[in-house]
Amino acid sequence: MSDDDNITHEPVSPGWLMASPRHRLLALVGGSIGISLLLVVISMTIYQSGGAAQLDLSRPGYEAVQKQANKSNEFEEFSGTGKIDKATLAEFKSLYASQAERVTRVDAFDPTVLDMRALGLELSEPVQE
Amino acid sequence: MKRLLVSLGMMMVGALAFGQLATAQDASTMTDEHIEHIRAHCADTLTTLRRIKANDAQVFVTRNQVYHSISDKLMLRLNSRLALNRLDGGALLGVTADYEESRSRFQQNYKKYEEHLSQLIKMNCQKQPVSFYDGIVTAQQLRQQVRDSVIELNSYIKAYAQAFDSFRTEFATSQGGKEVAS
Repeated sequence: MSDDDNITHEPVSPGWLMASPRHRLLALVGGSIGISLLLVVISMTIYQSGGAAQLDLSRPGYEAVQKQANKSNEFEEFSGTGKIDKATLAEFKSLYASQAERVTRVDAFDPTVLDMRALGLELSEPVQE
Repeated sequence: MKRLLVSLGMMMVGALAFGQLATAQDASTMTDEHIEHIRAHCADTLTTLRRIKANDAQVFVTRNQVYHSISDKLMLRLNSRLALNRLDGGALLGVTADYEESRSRFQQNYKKYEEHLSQLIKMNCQKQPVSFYDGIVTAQQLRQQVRDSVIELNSYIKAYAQAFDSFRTEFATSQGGKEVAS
């Protein structure tokens, strides 16, 4: 028999388990806050990079336009099931034409809005060199 | 392969250098008078930019909702109904796929534009008038891209309507009946 056989191996506990109850509580609270912060950072990154931020009108500075956006939220839908006949095709034509007209009749993102003269950044007279 | 990579690399460096040169040229041709003019008026410009940003957000949200609904509540529903009835809606499916890609581009382009505008509004235009001016030039280009994607989306909406009319005519003919397309 070797000497090693007489040595009893006790399970080794992690350091934080050996700490006093007070320290363990602090570690728990600190860990919880750390995990919460990490989750907030992850969710904010997804919110910013996923395009959700651009759709969120509850952000500061958008209160005035939020109500206007909600007003125009009505949309009559076409049923995805059922037979196809002249009447259903006519119904679809009517629904589609009204929605298509709604978006195509009004111009959007007119580039002249950011014109230097309109923004007051162009000198009134052409710059002489 | 190596030559191709080298050529591509040179083209990219060239494009970047050209971009830098173009910006530098803008700054160099800007007179002191013009720079002072920007400093004097940029506070008002910032107010205008904030208003434009808020209005654009409302337009984007509304448009995005309608574009999404056109796809989800009309195009996809009709395509599915045609498939269930074993009717050939191949042309409609093709336009729907193109429309979806275009819708995704619209969202990406707007995101880029909105992020740039947000950065521009945070900029200290009194201290960096030339950068502020250049930032507006970039914003104009990004806004143009958003507009281009709106025009593209509208063209697909019209293309779907045309494909639908063709389908309707064919359907009426196959039913052995009268012309129903208006």
